[in-house]
Amino acid sequence: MEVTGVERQKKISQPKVNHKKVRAKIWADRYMYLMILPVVIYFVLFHYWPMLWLRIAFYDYKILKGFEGSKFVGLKHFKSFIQSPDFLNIIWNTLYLNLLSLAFAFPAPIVFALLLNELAAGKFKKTVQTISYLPHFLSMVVVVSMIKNILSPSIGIVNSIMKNMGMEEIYFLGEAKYFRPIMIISGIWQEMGWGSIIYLSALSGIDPELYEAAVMDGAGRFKQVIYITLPGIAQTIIVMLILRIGTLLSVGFEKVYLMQNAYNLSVSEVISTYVYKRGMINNNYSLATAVGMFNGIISLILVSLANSLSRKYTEISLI
Amino acid sequence: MTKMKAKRIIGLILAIMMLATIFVGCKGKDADTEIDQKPDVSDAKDKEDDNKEKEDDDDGEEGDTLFKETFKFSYMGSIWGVHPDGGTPIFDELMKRTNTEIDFRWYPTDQYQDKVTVTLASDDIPDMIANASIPTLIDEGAIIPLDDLLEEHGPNILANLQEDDYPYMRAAIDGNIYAVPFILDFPPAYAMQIRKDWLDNVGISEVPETWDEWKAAWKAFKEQDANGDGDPTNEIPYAGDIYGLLPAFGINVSNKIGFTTDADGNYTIMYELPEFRTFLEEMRELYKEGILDKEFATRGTYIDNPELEKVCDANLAGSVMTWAANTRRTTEVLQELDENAAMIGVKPVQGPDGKQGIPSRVRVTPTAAITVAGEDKAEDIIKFFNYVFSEEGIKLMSYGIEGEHHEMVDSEPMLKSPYVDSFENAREAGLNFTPFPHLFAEEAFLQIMMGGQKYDELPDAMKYFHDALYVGEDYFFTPTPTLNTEAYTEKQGEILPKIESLLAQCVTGEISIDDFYAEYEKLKPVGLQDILDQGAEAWSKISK
Repeated sequence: MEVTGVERQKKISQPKVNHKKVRAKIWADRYMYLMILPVVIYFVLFHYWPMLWLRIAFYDYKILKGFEGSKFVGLKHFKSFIQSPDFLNIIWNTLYLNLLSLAFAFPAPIVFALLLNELAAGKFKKTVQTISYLPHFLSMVVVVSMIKNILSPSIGIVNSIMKNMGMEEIYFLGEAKYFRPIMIISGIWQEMGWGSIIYLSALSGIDPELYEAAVMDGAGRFKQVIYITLPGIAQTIIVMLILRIGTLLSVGFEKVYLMQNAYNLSVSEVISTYVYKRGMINNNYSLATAVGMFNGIISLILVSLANSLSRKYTEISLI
Repeated sequence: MTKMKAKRIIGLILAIMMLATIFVGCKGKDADTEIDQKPDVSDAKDKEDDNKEKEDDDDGEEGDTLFKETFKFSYMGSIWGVHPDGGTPIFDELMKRTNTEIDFRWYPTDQYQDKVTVTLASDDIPDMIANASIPTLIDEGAIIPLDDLLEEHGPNILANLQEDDYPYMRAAIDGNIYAVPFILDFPPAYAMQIRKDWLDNVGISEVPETWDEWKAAWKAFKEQDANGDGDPTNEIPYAGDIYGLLPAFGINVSNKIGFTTDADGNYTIMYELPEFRTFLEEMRELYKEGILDKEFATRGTYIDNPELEKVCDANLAGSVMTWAANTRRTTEVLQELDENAAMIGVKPVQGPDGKQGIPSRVRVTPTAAITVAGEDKAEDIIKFFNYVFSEEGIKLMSYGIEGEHHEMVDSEPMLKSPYVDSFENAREAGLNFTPFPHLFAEEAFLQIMMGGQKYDELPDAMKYFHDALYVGEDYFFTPTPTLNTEAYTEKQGEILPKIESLLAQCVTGEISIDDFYAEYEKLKPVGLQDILDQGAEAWSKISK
């Protein structure tokens, strides 16, 4: 077989794999591999292996009958979801809620981390940090129950204060227009502290000499943040942003479902609640899987898109 | 370069592992599929053959016990609250009397349905599954119909079923009976309730009965600072959801879904009834006047009862239609601050057309089904439960063991303390054990409810509770069951929340009554009509 110039060039440029060296290297790093092994096993068991069962989406799957006993229905469940009269509304509700979250909830931990970073290390800083983490550990049922009680027009403290100030009471959970703000604000309260950890760790990696040099050059606190701190954590922010974009079609099911009521259904029906009602309550796993698969494919496209845009304009990317 | 190599090696390992897992998956799949497709029936059969604890040839009774040789079966169910997950003396006695060994597998109620699903997918399916969704189990082909078995081997079970029970017992999908029931023969459950002290505070001496009298009382509650806290705006004259007022309009439902029967006895949904328009008109008026609870769509007996209890306890609710026990609880809570506080049970509200009604407790709950894995033991399982539903079995399950749980007084069993003191105590001992099919006697239920005391000995709050149970007795109606037809199963998750949402919008005045009906009609072509048609068809079969 004739070898072209280009192929020859490729062969020359490719380093020869020395298997002995590789084996030696692996053996030398065996503890590192051992450390990563549980995570690998976890991902294989709980993320990759279950993918084999994604074909449930193409069957009218019955647990006891298995794949061979269940009827193959092709794209029936995908069609059923897409042709549903609520499809566009559900997609819009999910997307809109996530875009709002991206606009307000995503920057909140960054701002919080920057503010914390400006505080001198001490008891106050640690106390603020600890308190800010606490809501993350509350059960969603407890959080929603608190929201309902706080905002109730009859027994809630917010309306009580409003009434004492001469304002008219508002049934916040009874008006669809308040649903999204409540979701976003409570989401920020719950996750801002926890979400700031990753940025705080990125901030700790910035070389203190840069700040010293900036002070020498006459930069104030604000300029230090703009020209040193933010660029220092830019990579982390972008990576987090790309990952966040990948979840634009996912909304935490529990909170939306618990907050959903007859008044706000038009804006609170999102993909996950729809799947729960049509798929899980009735044990229609095929439909639930089909919607999940649809969701996954769209999310993969979004992540890939965000990743390539980021690589093009900022040279930072996930892969 | 070294980094590059390391990356490649990691990638290689990952790839190999994933590949290996896939192959493992494929290999396992063949074996697993076999198990998936055929639940462990053969295995169960083998086990059965091993034990072959067969009863005698005729009626299964031999000597002092039901079975000659020990009959074993497994039972999966969910427990809540203080229900014991270990054995109880009552179950021990039951198994001793019948020469039975039951392998109980109890799980908490929380996420129990998921547990059932996982169990079905496993190769260890129990002989009986309790407290699971019967339509789902039928759809999965996991359980067997019991009609013939009950006819042949369960005469005591059938003898305890009344005509009104059958629509609850039969599956809408094919009209068969799939589960052995838990029966609580105690119809009182709900009561219309009003704050007697509020009536006194606003100068109304008579308990309201007619629609106009109720409206006058509600208006007075609203306008006259009935709770006396100095804030004349925080009273909720009628607290909770609006579904509790439907029977006053001749619409006999006891949930927010609203399936009922029309004047000709046909299965339908409340929105189809002409009375519903009158109901809507009145509710809109009440809401406008501030009489209805502003949060009616998010709390109430049929929506979120704990939230309703909170407003009762906060001294904000003037009247409610809810569980009769609420009279006792609310009164006890409020009397800690005001000894005059009294939430009392009254006759159900009489609507504008003079109609009244209060739902009675549904007598039967289809509880435990026999799985395909237990099919070979089905005959003996039914014989076992036939004993549970015999006079002896009912006495054991309702009153426990003589000397330990009850004593005979004037030839009548009387539960002893501490079992009679509260339902918690009783349940802890295995009495009124709802996850297991049996008939719990009305008298035993009443004894526990009264804490073993006579009416005259009861404190006021307990008397209110007792009275509330029976005050609406003349107006009890048996609610129509919601039929889980194929269309209902498939479409209810989409359709019913929308109707609920439309109803809330209509009552609050966001949309007109005509708009409500126009939007309601639009739901028919997308599934509602199928739900109605299939429901009517199923009803005509199962209500015979």
